[in-house]
Amino acid sequence: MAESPSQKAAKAVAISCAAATTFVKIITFKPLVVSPKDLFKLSFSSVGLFSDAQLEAFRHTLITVAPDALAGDIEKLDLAPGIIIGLVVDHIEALLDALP
Amino acid sequence: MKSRILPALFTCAFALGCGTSVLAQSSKVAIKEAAKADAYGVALVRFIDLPGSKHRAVVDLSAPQDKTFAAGSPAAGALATSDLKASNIIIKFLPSGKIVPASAINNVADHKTAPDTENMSGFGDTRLQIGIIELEDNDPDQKDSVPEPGDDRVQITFGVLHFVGVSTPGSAATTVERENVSGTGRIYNKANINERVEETRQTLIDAVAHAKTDDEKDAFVAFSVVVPAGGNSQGSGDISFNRDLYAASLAQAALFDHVKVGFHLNKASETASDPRHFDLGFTFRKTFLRANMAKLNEIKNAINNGAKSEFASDQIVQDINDLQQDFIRAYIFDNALRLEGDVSTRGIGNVSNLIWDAQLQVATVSRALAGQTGFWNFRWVPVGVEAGGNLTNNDNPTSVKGSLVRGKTGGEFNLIFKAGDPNEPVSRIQISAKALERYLFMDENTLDPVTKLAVIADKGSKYWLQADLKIGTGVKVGAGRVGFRASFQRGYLPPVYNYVKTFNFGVVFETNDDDNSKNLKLK
Repeated sequence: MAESPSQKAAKAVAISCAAATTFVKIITFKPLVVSPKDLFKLSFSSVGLFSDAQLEAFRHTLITVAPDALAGDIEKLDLAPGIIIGLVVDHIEALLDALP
Repeated sequence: MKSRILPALFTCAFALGCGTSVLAQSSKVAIKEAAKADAYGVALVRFIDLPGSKHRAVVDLSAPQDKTFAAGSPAAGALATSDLKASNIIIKFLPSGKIVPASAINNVADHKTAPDTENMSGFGDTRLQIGIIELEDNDPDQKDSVPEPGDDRVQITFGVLHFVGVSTPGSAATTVERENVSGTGRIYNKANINERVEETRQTLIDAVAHAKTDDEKDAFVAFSVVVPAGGNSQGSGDISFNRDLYAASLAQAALFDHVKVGFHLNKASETASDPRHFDLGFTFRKTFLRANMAKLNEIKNAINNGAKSEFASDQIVQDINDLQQDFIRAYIFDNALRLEGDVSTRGIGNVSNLIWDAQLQVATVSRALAGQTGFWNFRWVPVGVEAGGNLTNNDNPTSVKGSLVRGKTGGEFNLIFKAGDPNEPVSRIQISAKALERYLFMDENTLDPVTKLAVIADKGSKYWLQADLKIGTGVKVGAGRVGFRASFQRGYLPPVYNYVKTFNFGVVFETNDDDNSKNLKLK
């Protein structure tokens, strides 16, 4: 089965959120179904990630589950509790699209 | 001071209340908007002209799609009546006007190369993906489904799209049908995909620049009412600012992976409620993830190579559930070089220290409350060491500018409850409690409570306790809602360790969106 960078980015970010807060649940992996259903329209703080320590845990989980080639870019990601999670999904998707 | 602040506060609150009474009817406005075409349409479109599983279009809708009409393949449900069937979608490249053949729009489940056509989970039913098949069999040059040279835009039109209508209290959501729903956007290919990377990177940077942490938002508490123990109402401020200065690539990350610059100011206008604390400095941070790496690698393989079966998919969900059972998610080791200053009428440098601050932080997993009505979490600093020396003490110039060594430990607990409906009288409750114990191993400058000068030398225990209660209400004022905040502080902060015992109360005004970048607080 071929999954697009959009789908891979959504999975990687959703799972990295779920690893840091039980407020986020992965209902099914294939196809991806998450709770809350508008997870990527919410801010990190509204799902329970409102300290820089928790965002670092999110970042390092994302580094681990994303392709190795993205590690440096994820390390440099600007993150803050108030930003919308979908912005990170969009950036990871673009990075995956740009991979050779 | 009090006599000027409070009338101004009530004047502003009254002005906002009157000026926004029209907006308080926003629910009625929302219902009327159901009739507007742009409330149910296409918000954003992009086409990715890259080979294989990257070949697709992404469409963001301005309202949730009715999932009854979201089947992208026969296996996903009723394709014949779906908005996502190929015959309902026209993809036209511009300016050439070339149209992608319907046979190139993927309506096959588990196609060997093309991505799924689907309504993607996690975006509130507003993001659609349209997979494009490379027509190898009847299009040997694979030119049918790609733009002509010179094409830079794409127009995507749905013959019919079904949206979830705005529901009114007590009634079920309705379906809104729109015909010829269309949107235009950019085409990204090998030549310009890095522009997309930069666009999304810049969007993130801009969002972070505007987003404010709770600590940063506390700057606005400067206008709230502070009651020191036995004293009069006064103003206070508690401001934190932190920004990433540098992020190492992994190859350089042996000693630290981030460098941050920041300051923290905690100041009040009344001596009995004034911690007189300011610090400014750099933090070198190293994060150690605590997780079952074998399971994370399984998840990584499943994401990047695809789960091969339903069993494999279930196993991944189980792995994620297992990950969530661990309470500790990461250890964070901070090394900071900081300048501490006494914020007083005599300037920040009146009494100042230069210190090296090393601490271990434990990041825990946030735990959801029953029914996902909220969550709680805990941050712990089990141990930290602060060492350095006194630079200045203008209150007592003859004092010895000696060394200082402190040990510290502390923690922070947060509990947040959110009502399902933001219009509930109490829509959100946030309780936060912080405790920090510093132990001074050597004599340090301490404020004399009589003279208010840092002329006493003291050591031993210096604790700091802080508790905050924030209550959000469904009371709308303009574009936001009114809330209340109460805060209690007690203890000592360096460099002069003024004893503080205050209760702080304020009215808070917050915008409706979760993105707090537009937050505004009233006193």
